[in-house]
Amino acid sequence: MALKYLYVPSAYKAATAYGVLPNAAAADLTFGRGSNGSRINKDKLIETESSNVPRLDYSSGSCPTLFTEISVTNLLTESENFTDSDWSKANSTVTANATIDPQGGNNGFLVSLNTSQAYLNQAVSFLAEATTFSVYLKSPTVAGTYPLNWYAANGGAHHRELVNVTTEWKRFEINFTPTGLGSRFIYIGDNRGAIGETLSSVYAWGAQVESSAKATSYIKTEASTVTRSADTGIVSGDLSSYINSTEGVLEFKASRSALKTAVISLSSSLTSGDNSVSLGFTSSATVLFHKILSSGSDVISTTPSTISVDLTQMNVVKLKWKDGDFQAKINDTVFTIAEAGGSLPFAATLKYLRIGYPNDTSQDFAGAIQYIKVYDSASDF
Amino acid sequence: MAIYIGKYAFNSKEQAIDKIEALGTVTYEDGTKYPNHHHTVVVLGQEIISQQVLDGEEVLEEEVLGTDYLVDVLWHDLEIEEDGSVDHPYGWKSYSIDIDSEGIHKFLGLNYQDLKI
Repeated sequence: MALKYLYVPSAYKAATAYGVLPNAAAADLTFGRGSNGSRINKDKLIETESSNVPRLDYSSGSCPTLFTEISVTNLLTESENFTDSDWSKANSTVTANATIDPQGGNNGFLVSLNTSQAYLNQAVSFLAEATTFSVYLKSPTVAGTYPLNWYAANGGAHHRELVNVTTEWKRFEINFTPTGLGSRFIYIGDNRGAIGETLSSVYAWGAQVESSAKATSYIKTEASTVTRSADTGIVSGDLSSYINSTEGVLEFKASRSALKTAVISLSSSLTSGDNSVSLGFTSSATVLFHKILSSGSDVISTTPSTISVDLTQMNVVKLKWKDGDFQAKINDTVFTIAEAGGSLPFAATLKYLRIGYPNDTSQDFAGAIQYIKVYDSASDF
Repeated sequence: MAIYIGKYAFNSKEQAIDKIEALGTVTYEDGTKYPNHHHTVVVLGQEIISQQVLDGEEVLEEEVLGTDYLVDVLWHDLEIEEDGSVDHPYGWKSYSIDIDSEGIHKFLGLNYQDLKI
């Protein structure tokens, strides 16, 4: 019958992301992240937020999302200092302070491949697992193609590929899973393959190599590798006055950023999911996860719904609960969910909304959240 | 939220993995293991005694690895003792190392020298 809880990314301070509805402190989400983390601000510049400060990210437009990620390490050193000796230069030159960088400073580098046997590389110890190499590039003249590369001596040698560089900064990423290791390098430019590149010079900034299937937010490094901690512990106060434990709808609009189980939940306890509603994704690319527990027993089937949408894009996801009436929805597709042995109402009143699952950080949601809503009636589905 | 940084040198990879998993791990149906705690654990692997020497792509000298297996941890909300002090979780203190620099790895925006446990 009515919207009882609403989170839309707006105001925040260290350790708090303010809720919108109800107009009460209980609507605010506590927030934790051990290390700093970067985001895209409303001016579309990369900006660093301190430990425990929520990241409101403007990557996808003028409306921010609450941006949460898993822990990742940038395996490169001197990630924005290509003149450093950690970067090997063969027949190439690197000029510092050549242009405005994606943070708004004057620290963009000009990388020039001077002969047909030129490269700029760094040795890096990536592992035999899903890996992503990313770097920001911009053409100093006209749009064109430029060769990036990764190499593992025992794994098929060079993997050069062209990227389409324009006169605007763009982050390019190469995703790979090496099958052999040995000496390993990544290259910000390598024209020895003669694969038809049209640019011999680019502006470059912010290189990153990480054990991840896709690039995560930029992590600056200097002399050592650097880790960004996961965003975690994101939970509301006591919302029992607002959440209907007999029936209702949990809805959110979000994209995912990591292939792992990731849920948003309502629960009666901060430390147990025995009475809870959970909605999210599994470690599969195409599975919607929904779970309702009452007194520790499954109320609905634990078999999740296989879906056919790109979960890395924004999707609207809903779950309704009412005794004898359980359904999930992603965008306009509805899934009827079989009931299990448990029954409603919940043995304990639902109190907390968490971007994750009670007492299980492995299910913390990693992605971009545009809103979260809780309604007090199944008819709001 | 109180945070501390610890650097550890274990005797072997297996020993390090055992200690890390004892902090809390869940195993998904596909066999993948994920941590179930708020600490940030970074496995650095075997200690590098001397760095690889390169001439471009050519390896002139291979890196020399030691036997210690290195792990960095950003600890969150460790239990506070009655005297107000904070100690390593059970089983970790024996393998803690104390270095005068930041070492080969950092946590973004944090200094080990300021936050060492």
